[in-house]
Amino acid sequence: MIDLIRNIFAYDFMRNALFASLLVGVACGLIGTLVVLNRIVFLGGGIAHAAYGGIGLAYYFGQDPMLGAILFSVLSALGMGVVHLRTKARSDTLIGVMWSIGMATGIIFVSLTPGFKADLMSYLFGSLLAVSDTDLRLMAFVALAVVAFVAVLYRSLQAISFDETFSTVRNLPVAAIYLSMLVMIGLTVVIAMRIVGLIMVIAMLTIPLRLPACFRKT
Amino acid sequence: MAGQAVIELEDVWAGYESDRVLEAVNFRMEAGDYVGLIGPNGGGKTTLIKVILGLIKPERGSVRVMGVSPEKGRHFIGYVPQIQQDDKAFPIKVWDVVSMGRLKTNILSNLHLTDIDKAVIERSLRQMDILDLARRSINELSGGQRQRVTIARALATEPNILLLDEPTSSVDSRSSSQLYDLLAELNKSISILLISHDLTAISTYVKTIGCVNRRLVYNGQKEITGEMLSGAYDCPVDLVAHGVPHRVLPSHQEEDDHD
Repeated sequence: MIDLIRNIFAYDFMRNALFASLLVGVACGLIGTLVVLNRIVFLGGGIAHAAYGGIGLAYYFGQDPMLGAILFSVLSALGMGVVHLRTKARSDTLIGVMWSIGMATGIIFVSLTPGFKADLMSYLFGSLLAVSDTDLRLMAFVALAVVAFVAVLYRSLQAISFDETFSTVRNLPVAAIYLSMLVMIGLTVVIAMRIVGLIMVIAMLTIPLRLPACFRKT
Repeated sequence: MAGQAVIELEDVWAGYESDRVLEAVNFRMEAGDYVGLIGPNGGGKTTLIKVILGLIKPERGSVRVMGVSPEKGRHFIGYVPQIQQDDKAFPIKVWDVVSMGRLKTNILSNLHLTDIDKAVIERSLRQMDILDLARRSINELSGGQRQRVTIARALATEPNILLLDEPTSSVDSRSSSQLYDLLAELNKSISILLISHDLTAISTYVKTIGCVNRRLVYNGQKEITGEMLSGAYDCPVDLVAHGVPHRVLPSHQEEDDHD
């Protein structure tokens, strides 16, 4: 048994897969809590699909697709954050727009790119076994940033999630906290996308968070 | 009448894009006051609160809270929002809700509660008589208990003014009279501004009453005057409905006034 485990993890890609799962698990657990409590699950899905626009664009211009994904997800997260803070209303339509434009842009640019592009499917459906050392470093960085972010801002995040108006009246920097939370969501979406795919990112952000609620007494 | 003004509105006009809700509102509240403002739904009560808290900028006129702009002065206000029943799913303990009253603007100083913070939270819980609920999840509480938690959170900010929005909307009549007794006790050290659509409930407890319905009629008296009836037409609906052993209408008032 021990030998079997040792043999499995003799392969680099298996070790990377294990570490990737652990790192993404930590980040998604913390960020998912914020996403669920703030009722912005749909926004998480929107960010993931918007990121595909970045992947397509980066691919077309011969850049690293992960770079494009990060750029697009963070920008779309910030965009949605500004809309939320300005209008306080009906952002769901806008999320739908962002969702489909991102996806469409991605597909257009991927089609325009000549050559073999089987690799692109891995962004849609994820590819745990194809996690590279570079990906792993990015995941470690994001997971660490998320842990530090939540540890330092725990009470402020709790307060703005529970009662944004009261937090504003207490003169908490609500806008800054909210936007940085969305940036963290954007980054987490990108690393989760690497292993489960952008279609399933929502699963990583919601299912583990809902499960304990089913068994909790109160 | 030479007390210090804690809230001062001068010729305030406010509203939303195409819809003006408040017109020419003048209001002055002094330290130690206990003011009840009544008005029909849609009469601008909530907008008035938002203007005082600096959440909405008035189109015209000036707002002063503790002598400064509302953005700075709201620090002195213990805001008690209407409790939202749809928040039920939020997993949080009473203690953590009340500790939000201790949050500071500098987010880095919010890492831990200091001993002073803890003492203030405990005192606020005790003042609202809910210290024994501190470790309970807010989802287990009744409407009246939740309302007390919200007030305790406001008290934890050590406010000069308590601003309550419909404090008895989800509370039965017995707990609501207990709540008003507590508020009367608090009023010994804190000025209170209370906004409600339920006239009869508040009229027995507050020191002065005003009416908001687009315009504000307030002259620092306890009685509903004919001027209020005509100025804020809808107001006394609740008055007729309940009937309390306490006269808020002047005895020989001209009811024909509100035509």
